[in-house]
Amino acid sequence: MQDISQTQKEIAKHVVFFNLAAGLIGSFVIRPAMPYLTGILFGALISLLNFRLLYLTLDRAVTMSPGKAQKYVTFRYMIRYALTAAVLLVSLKSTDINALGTVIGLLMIKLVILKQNLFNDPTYFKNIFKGKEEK
Amino acid sequence: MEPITGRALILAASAIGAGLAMIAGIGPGIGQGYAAGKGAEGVGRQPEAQGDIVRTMLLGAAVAETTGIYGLIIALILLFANPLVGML
Repeated sequence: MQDISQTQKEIAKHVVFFNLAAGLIGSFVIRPAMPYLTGILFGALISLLNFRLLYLTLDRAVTMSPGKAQKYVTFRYMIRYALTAAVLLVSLKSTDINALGTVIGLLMIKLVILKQNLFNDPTYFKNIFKGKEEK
Repeated sequence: MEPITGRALILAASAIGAGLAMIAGIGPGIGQGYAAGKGAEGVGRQPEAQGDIVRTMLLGAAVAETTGIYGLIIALILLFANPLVGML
């Protein structure tokens, strides 16, 4: 199993790559392209920041007692949620930032994590089509 | 008494819809907290596995967090960029 910092670097690298791809494809489809690209950049930066904050929270929470860890993580989640809300609100209100780009940038991390940890396993796809009696 | 206009009705329904959409944000918070509590228990039992526990929890929590963002997006669009008002 990879170590945590290596995993974070891998995910950050893939998030940047996938967002570049989404920006490139979207800039041909969505006009004007500049607000869309700004939105992608904005969303990607905030999603990476959120991911880093999540790591710092969990790393600290596992050294606490279970009850305290639960409250601490839930409280920190609300802070990150408020941060995301502020980002989305700014992108919806501003004419210089495309909201669709921001949403794509914010949600790309999920796609990357699923791609790296679930869809890279061929047995996952085999199990979908395999009947219950064959297992 | 003034009759309720179509625009007012849409705005009221949108506000209720935004409130309902925000319920989606509570679930990941509770889930992350529960997972962190169990993670802390696991680290207490097996301190040498801390790296693996945090790594697995990090990936799970990051995926769960984006689910809460879906609800937030719907709520904010209904409140601040409502596409239904323009259809009147």
